[in-house]
Amino acid sequence: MLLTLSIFIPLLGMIVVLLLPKDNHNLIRWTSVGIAVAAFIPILILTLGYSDPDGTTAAQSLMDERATVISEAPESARSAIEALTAAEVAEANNPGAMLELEEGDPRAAQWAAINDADAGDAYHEAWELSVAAGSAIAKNLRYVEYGNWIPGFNINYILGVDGLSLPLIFLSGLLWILCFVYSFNIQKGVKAYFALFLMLETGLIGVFAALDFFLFYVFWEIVLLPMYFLIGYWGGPNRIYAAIKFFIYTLVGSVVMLVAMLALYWHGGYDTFNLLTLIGMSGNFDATFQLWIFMALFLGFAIKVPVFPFHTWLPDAHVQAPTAVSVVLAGVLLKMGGYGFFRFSYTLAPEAGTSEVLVMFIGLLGLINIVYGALCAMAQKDFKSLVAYSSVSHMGFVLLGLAAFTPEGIMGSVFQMFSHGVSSAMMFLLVGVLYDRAHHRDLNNFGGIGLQMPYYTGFAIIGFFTSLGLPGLAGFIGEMSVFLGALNAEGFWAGNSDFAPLPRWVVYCALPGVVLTAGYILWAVQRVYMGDAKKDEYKTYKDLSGREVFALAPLGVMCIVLGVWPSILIDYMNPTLDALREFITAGVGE
Amino acid sequence: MIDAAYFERARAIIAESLGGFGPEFVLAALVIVLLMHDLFTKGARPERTAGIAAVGFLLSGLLLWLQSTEPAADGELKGSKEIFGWITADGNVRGMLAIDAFAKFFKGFVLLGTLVTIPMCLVHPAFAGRRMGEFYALLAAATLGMFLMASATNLLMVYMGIEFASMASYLAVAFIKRDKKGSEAGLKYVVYGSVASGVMIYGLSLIYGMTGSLHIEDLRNFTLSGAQAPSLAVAGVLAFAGFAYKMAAFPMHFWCPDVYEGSPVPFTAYLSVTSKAAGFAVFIRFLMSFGDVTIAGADDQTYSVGFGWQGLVAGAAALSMTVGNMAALWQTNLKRLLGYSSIAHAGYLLMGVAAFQPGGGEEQYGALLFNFVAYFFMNLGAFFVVTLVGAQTGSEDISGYRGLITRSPALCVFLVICLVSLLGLPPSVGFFGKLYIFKLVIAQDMVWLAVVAGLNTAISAYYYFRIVKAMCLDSAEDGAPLRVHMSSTVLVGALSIPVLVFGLMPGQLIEFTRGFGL
Repeated sequence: MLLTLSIFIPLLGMIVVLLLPKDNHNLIRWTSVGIAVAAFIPILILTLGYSDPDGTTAAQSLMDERATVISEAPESARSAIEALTAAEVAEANNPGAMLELEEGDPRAAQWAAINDADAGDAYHEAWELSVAAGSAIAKNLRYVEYGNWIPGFNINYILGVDGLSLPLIFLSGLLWILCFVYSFNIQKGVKAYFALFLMLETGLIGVFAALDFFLFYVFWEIVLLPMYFLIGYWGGPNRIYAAIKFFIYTLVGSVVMLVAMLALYWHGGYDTFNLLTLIGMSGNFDATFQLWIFMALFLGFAIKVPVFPFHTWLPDAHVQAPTAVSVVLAGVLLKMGGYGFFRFSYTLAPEAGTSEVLVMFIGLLGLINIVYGALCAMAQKDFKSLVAYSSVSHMGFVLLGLAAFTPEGIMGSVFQMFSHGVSSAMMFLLVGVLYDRAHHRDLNNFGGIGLQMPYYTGFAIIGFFTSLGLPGLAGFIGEMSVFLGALNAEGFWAGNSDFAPLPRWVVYCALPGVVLTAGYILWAVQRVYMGDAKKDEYKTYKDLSGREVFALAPLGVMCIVLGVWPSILIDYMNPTLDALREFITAGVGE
Repeated sequence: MIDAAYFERARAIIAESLGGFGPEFVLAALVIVLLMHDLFTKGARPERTAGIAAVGFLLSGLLLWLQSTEPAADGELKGSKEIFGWITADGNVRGMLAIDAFAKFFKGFVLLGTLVTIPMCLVHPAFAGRRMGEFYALLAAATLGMFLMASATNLLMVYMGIEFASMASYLAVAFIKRDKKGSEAGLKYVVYGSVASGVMIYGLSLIYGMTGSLHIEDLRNFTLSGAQAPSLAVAGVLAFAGFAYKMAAFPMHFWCPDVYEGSPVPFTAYLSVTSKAAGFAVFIRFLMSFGDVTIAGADDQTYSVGFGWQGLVAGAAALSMTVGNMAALWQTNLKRLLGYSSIAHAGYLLMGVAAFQPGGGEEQYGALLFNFVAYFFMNLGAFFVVTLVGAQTGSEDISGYRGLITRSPALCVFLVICLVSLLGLPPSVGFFGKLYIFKLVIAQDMVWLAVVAGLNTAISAYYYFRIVKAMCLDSAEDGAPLRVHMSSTVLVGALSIPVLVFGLMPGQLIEFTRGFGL
């Protein structure tokens, strides 16, 4: 119930906002903040309750659902369904192959008892739930909600969170409050702005919580529309070009993803979009099929991350988008792609993902993202596009950590997603604060802001140095772990001759990226905050307003806390990520 | 053997058949009533004329609703679903028109489309002060033609139905006298239509030459016998010209944008939905008579007979959507753009037909009919907004839609919903419809076709969103709010809200459309 609440409170809130009088801007703003807070409450409860050792896991709640399904089946077939879909035999009883029983198989009698359409449907659902409950990621999933949505297509409404999705949901909930508070300066089309922003939240939290591929896809596309309007209407001078570019890029990726989703539905005759069931059966997918699935899903997610060479929409979208939209775009929307890698690409095609070619491919893409993104960032004259390219660079670490398949690498990769979500959100806010005053973002035309706006500069130092990866701040932990894990890959997999780990030279090539990052950030900080003011008007700027402090302070605190006490987040993630990694690499060496 | 008993029997068949022809009779009567009414009232009080037309269509719909699709219980037609038959040499009865669920669906579909067109006619400014009885009579005549198309089981009736519907449409397109664009469109429509039907009747005559019969049941038997497959393929391809013309599919799609642009908007809306549906109905019935692609032999092997029409249809589908979408990218006139979009949708629908297996169960029909219902709401919704905006601004160009969000927020939001559905994004019914067809296509191992359709969807985003962009992101030159009557807004809402409702809860609609297979 909690997840459903956190997804649909914003959607209901959107309707409420639409019903408010158009001209009462403050009422709309405060209502929206209230809705964002209301949506954050269930997320907070989830976050606090997740580590409870007595909590119900997906494995348990899905087995309960299975019991319900069986109890509603025709009476004569109940025991047969129960026996045929018992957890330990479910995966072997592939329903596509069920009819081909050898003579004398005791299951023949049970199968004969499932003799009408109702019983067949119940059998299929019970089977699905059994496999889902037994899948590798089920034991870490909590707060599972299950319901039939479109029975004719066997599409279900399944939600749940684990250590992978919960931090991202938490971050989304928090960022929305901060963004709404920051967005009080929006003057044009206030009502539509907040309504669309709320719709975006529904889509985003839904993406992270959905465990049915179809449901996931619907939420994924719901994110697209409000984003298009938010960039296109409230953005900068070239906003319309940026909006349609964002839209088309993402749509191409998601259409390819759709084909992969449908292929999964029919391959093997499982006829289900239930992600956990598909993961449970992914061992049965042959190598070629896995490769196609992996590549199709990869394309969809890579565009969102964005991975070189699909990144070109990002600088346009970021630079043109209004500040709050850039914040959520960098903070959580890009993470949809990274999340997709972990949740879908690797789990549905583990064999393909760990093949020699793809390990190298992903590793090299990570390397290109890190170095190329940093070089691009260094060349920027526009403050915001510098931050945008820094996102490209930082998301490269996620890929590099993934390619390593070591505990540190995977952990660092997910940690990097979260810390980048915090730091990039903060950097975009910082740029926005300055832009609101100067109305330009030309890096070479600032200077001396530090003296004039000391509090602002204090936050700026935290934000930018987190991004730089300074020890003691959140960015360091992620980057450090990724490098450690990636360098250790050869050692970690030394005993396994069947797995070709990421070679060290790739990591050595990526290391200069850290220096380049330090270069462009320090250079930017120097040009903007140090030295003498290039224009006299800078001396009239007021320091942060209360509203701006409210938006920046929580992020600044998180940068520091996660830097000195990373285990607060790592403890959430580790059980999930360990299970995930073991599952993906389980097939290696067979 | 023609004797007194033969005539007796024939008379009985005709008498029994009349009962199944009620809806068509009402439409035929409506044509005359409307013309008479026009004659005496000289076109005064357009609402009353529209009211008479609406009552006529509703009455026809009522009879259709009450019509049983079960085979006749007794009499000469006992056990048959077909009416107006003749007696063959071996004493069997072969009918002209089928009274089955499939035909019923399409007839109801066409009728509903016609009913939605009537309020559009009332607000269309070019229709003001004209004798609309004539126009509604043409609508009724075209609808009657489409009824015949939906039911035709005889190749002659197939041809007659198509011609009947076309003739009435030619006139309606050029209804506004001295309108250059309308006349041009009417002429183009006639020329293309004549070519298409000429090619088609040539194909049908080849079939007659081979089978010696015009009934599709005989065609099916002929195909199953496996004889003369190459000639059959030639005849099938030639006949396809006529069907493609009605469906506005490649390669007979050229008329579509011109006619859509030139004809009055309400009739464009009518044509885009009903004519396409009737074209598909008659095409599918014809196609299914080509027999099973594979049949089980006595030695437990399966054999292919007939010709590989699936590949041809798949090719036409891929080309239709690609040609339609590519050409739509550059359009600035909204009616023309929707014309190309309609060609693309013919492609998506043909993709569903390409996945057909004769005797393949109710799901394949369900997928196609589901898409027709989706198309009904989203396309008519879009055209209704085009009518309303055109009536206020006099412009059908995309530039006339700039800033619609401030001028008429409700219409703008409804049009965005319809466009999002035409594009096929969730959570709209258009998305689910496409998914349904993808499901069939992938199950038939035609993944390439699904990929082509997927890429086409991405391409089409560009032009659909050009409209959205103009409406929502550009600012209006003339910011005055549009004055749209409340009832019109409600009607548009009634067309576009189901797009979302069926998109989120398609379960009922899936069940419903499964019940209307051949």
